[in-house]
Amino acid sequence: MITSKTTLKDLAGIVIAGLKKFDINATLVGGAVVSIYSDNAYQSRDLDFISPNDHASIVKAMEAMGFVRQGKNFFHQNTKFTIEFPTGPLGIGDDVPIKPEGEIETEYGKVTLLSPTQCVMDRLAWFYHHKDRQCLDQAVMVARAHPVNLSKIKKWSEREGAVERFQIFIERLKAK
Amino acid sequence: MSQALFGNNVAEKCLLYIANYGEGYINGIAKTFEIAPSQVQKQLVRLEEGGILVSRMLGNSRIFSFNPRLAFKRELEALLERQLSLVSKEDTQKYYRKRTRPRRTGKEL
Repeated sequence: MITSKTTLKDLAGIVIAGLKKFDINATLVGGAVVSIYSDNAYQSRDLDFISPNDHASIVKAMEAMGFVRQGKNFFHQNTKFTIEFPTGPLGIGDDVPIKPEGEIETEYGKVTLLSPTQCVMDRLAWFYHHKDRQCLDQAVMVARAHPVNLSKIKKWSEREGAVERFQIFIERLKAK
Repeated sequence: MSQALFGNNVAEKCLLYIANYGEGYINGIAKTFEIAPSQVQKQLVRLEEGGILVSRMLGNSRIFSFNPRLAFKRELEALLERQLSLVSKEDTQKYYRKRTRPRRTGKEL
């Protein structure tokens, strides 16, 4: 049941479980993943899911959970969080499509999401290609809170043509 | 600290802004630091004339960025990056953390 006290993580679990009843798969991406991995040091109000299923089925499943659709967003009267299903496929920078490598347990079931390493790369993609320093900070937050594969991130950064910006990330990560 | 190196406080702010965001325009920089657009314009034009910056028109705004042909562009960016890393947390949030990634039209901020 969704209440005003439902956390972002639990809401993700509730939505995934509700979608599963309609045979819909979805992966949590974006800022919500940063919130989960940073233990809410970064607070997102949006939950973005990428799903291979058709939008009409998703709308039906979301409405069954009590969500109301307004434009591209889904709202629920009991929570401040909004849900969106951006168009897939799931990708990070030029790596498209990618397979999500993260999974977390919630009271309501498992949630598939980006792994900490993929989450860092996802945030760095915005820093590399849109110079977004908020996302640099978020990448650092996640990499400080969870073990990440820096060698994989470095190789991916090279493919993205962002060796110098990867170095900025590393220096920020090392800084106190 | 690097005001002396860059000539003055406004020039330093312009360079730090562009190093941070990748580019900048007169009113955007002026509004961020609450300084007169004329002062910003003067420094940006000076830096462009000196070959440090280049500019292009985008709509009605002139956008300034580092000159890709500048021989010491990488070193200058590294110096400014180092300086950005020393800015206080408060000032970093205030001046250097505007969202620059896209947000879909109609989505709440």
